Amino acid sequence: MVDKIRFSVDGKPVEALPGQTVLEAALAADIYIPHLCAHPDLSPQSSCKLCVVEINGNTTPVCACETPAEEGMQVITKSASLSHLRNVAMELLLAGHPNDCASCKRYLKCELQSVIQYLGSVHARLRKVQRDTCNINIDNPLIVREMERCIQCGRCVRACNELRGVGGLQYNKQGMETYIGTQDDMPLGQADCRFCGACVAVCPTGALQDVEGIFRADLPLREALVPCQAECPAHIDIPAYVRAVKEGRYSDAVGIIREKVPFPHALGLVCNNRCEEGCKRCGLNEAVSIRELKRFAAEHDREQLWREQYLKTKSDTGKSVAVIGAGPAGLTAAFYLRKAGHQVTVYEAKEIPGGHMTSGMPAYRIPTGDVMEEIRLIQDCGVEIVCGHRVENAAVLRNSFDAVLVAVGTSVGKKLNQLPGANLPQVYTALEVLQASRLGRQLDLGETVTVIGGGNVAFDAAGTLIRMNKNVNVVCLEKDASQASPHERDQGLEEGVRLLDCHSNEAILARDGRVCGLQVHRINSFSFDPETRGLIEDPVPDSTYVIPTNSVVFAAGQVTGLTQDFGLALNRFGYPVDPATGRSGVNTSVEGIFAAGDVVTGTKFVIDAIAGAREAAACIDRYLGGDGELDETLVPRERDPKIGQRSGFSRLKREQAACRPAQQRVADFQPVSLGLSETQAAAEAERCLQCDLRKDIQPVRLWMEYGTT
Amino acid sequence: MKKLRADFAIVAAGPSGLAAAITCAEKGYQVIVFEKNASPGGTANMGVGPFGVESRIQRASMISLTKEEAFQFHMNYVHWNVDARIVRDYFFKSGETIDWLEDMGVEFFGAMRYHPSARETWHAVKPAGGGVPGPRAASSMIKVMYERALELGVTFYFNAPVQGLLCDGSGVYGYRATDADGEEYEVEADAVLVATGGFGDNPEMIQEYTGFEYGKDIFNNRSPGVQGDGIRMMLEAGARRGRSTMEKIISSGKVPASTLARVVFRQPSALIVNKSGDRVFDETYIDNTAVSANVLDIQQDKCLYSIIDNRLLEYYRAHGVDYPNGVRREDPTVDFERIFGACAEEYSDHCFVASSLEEIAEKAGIKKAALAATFAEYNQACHNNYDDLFGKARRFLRPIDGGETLYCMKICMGAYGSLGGVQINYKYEVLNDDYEPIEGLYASGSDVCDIYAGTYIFDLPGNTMGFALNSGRIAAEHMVEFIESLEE
Repeated sequence: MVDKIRFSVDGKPVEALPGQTVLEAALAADIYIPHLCAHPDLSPQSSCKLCVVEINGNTTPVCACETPAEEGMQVITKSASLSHLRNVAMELLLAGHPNDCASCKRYLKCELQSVIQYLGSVHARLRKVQRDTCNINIDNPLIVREMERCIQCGRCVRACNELRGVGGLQYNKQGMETYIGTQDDMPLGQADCRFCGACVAVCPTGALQDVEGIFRADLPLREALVPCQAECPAHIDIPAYVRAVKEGRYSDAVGIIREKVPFPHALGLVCNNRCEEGCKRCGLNEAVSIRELKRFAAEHDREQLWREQYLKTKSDTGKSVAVIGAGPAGLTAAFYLRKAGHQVTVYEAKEIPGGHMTSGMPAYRIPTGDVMEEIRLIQDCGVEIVCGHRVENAAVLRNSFDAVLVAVGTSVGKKLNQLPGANLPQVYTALEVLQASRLGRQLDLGETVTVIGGGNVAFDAAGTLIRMNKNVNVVCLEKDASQASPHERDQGLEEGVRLLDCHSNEAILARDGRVCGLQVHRINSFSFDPETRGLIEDPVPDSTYVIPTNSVVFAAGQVTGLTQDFGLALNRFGYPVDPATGRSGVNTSVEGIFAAGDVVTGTKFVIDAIAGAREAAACIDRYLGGDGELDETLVPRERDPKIGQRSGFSRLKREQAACRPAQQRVADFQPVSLGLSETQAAAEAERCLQCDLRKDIQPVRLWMEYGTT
Repeated sequence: MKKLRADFAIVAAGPSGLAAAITCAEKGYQVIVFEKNASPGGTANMGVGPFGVESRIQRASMISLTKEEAFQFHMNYVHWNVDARIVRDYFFKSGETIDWLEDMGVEFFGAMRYHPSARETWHAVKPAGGGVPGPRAASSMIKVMYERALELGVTFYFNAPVQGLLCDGSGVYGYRATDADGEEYEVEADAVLVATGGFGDNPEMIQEYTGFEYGKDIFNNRSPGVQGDGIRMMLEAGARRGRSTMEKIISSGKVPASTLARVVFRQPSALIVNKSGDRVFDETYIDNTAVSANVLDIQQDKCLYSIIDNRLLEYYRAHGVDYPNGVRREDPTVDFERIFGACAEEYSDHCFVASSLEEIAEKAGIKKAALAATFAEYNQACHNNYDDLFGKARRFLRPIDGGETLYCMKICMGAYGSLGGVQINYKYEVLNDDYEPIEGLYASGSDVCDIYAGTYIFDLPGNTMGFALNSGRIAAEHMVEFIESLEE
């Protein structure tokens, strides 16, 4: 028990801890004293002179921010002469500050403006000071410097030096003017700024701002501050696991990921990494390779330190849940419902669990064994998975369980039935090709196969067919198959896929009842009728010709395959609907039957299915009487705010995972990408801007938030 | 999710929301206010002061304008094309509102005019920290109002944007909000007041609601964050869209409004022409910026060009400008050549310096021959001491023909912000498409202000803030009536 120091502020008794200043103690006691250069995370500087107070009847003012509280001290914060001093101090600050607040993006989010409001200061009295140094070093990525708004409180300099140990910002001099800059006025990047944003976070004016758009304005600030995490549908704590990888704590990295998703390895291989689109580092050079770091951690986690806690379940609730479909959505929901203490049985129509992860994507992108290992953990937790069992009617199943989750996905490929010849025997869907390849089934494909469609699934099918020794054409409307990810498209082309873009189909031709060709013509452009969704094309005249082919594969989207026999109200596209909203959602037309994953959202990505399933699991848990709380901490967090110097930080290049050469990889179904090496992973993790550190900077309370003003 | 409950829930802590909160709390009711910004006061923080008639201050200064006169004057000014009940209630309350603010602790310099022919209705707030009336003065009023609200037990949540209104079959019973940490709130109340200040900072809404294209044919003030949140959520709750306009004034286009040099071009002695090189109005009207904005509104590309020469500039240096600015009191001729020269470089499509008429016409894109003819005619009029065209007052007929340097500045369409958005009645009840009140939903301030019929009334200055404060108070009184009718 530390002895408290007792003193008084304007007659009110206040207690201070040893070492606390008068300002700190007063603010902690909910008594406001105006201040601008002082900040709760920074050492005092006493330059703004706004926190002047009188002590023990002595009318010589002192700054409360640098005066230690002493036993019995009598502090006066309000007097005519103190008001005068504060107003003069503020007018001096304002003499060099623009007076059109409304042109500043920090309007009403500005500490200076708040203190102006408190003091009732206006510009009108002093002559405006024009500074010549405002335009030095204003052209930087990520950080806007409107230095005419700077009041030289020095918070940014202290944040950069004391708090972060980076030392990029300093006071510079030019003639009579002092200004805040870098060594030799180098741009921030060259001055080894780490773009952590601490300077922006502590700036009490609009002088330092984040470039507009790097943080989403539609999210609460605290969430928006870490854009990768905000963009991730499952909100994985990305900076924390990137930091763990950097420190060689690979198992901790996996533990952090597993706090939100049960498939770190699968996601490390196939996630569409929207996190990287949000990555603040995009504003410097390139995003941190977040997905590769996830894969690296998953493949180098030897200890599984999280395992015991991860597999821990709440005590049995006596409730039972059936999950229909063992894809990423169904398995995720099953896992979290089991952890919540419910008995969970998963029914899967196919012979193996995993959904698209084990049968809808090529093995060279996501090996079956890796997925099965992650599924085994879910079984270890006590989830029962019954394969080869197709549930015909969810409502009937509901009679045997307290709740049912429908997570059947969109597992049936679509054929464009209006295309003449679409019903010929050698016409398949991409999903049939992918499943056949992974489950070892035979299809009647012939030597040359033509894939219709230009998205990622088309290229997955094409790459699979190449590995089956076929000649492969991909025919699509879009120039350069722009619907597919450029990376996956280029990989396919490298492997020998022939792309016929800007093509429209006329008919599948047959000879003797067998497919022999695809009749097509070229187009200049196309669009879809906004009303009917019908295709409107601008054909190249006289361009019709026939592509010789032995079979045709449709990669034209997938459907749920559900019918009314399933026992739920469906919309006209076959998705279950919630009659309360008229839309697809977690609730269905039958009480106690819920839905998650592609069967709600339409075909999306694994991470969307997982994120949706977590929400559905929380809903079901609440429905069964639980609290719906799924969050758990598997790895305690520690983050050192002092990130220190790193020369050339802003120029660190994104590491590329090694890839097997095309001629080698087409010979088998082994992974195409080899992932990052340990050295690469460390280097890549080092590139992170550690946006999460900014959340630890204490917010400054404005005058209205204090009890005594 | 936190659930809160109060008698009244208010969206936004600008002058209107604050006035309403205090009014309700004075009558003993519990009030909760959610504000998306970190500080209270909204746009009023940059303002000077509110409108009032028959305040104690005016009576003490022997200002004879009565409520009835002001009302008649206003209604004739707008050709009775606005809701007379709303104007009447507002004007009749406005003087008492000034007294109310004074009693709360707000100090005023006095009642002022905005331009020479205006009436003294503008109550400029005296900043607590000293100084003369100017931008930000009203920030001191906000502080006093906020403290008064706190004293009366009003609860405020800052950094907490309201996301939408809570509605059921019979009306509005609260709202949803989120704070900066992501905490979600559901606030239930017997009545909700929306007062978010319009959509001046939302170019898409400006185009949709008023037809103006920001940055092209309008360069309005964009008080950051005023993005039509309130109007959006009221429409979602079934409100009928009301008439909305921009609060039009003239502006300097891309040249920052803080550029003092522009005052030199807003003088009655300037020669002002349109793109065709013709004079289009008596330049003495330039001081009434809403009226001159109307002149500008019907010109090609919605712009005018104000031209002076260095001799006129020297005259202003020696004697002061004809029309001093009511907001910015510094001398605009100080360092004019350097400052305007820099503007001409940075904003070469707005500011022009030249040594001949031809050069001005060339640079500014005005028809050359017509401009020359207009100059000849105008200068002749000055020498004749009679403006045959518009009868401009003789004292402002100063020929522009002897100087070596000509200065020209483009005058563009501007606006203080937006006015109106949803339909209300004189009780400030928000109406649905059948003109039936949506029970429990009220709105005040610029979200619903529709009392100018398109032309802001500078002859009775202080109206934007005046309407915000008074409509907030009046709406609050109707809300209290409503809640008391529920109790019966």
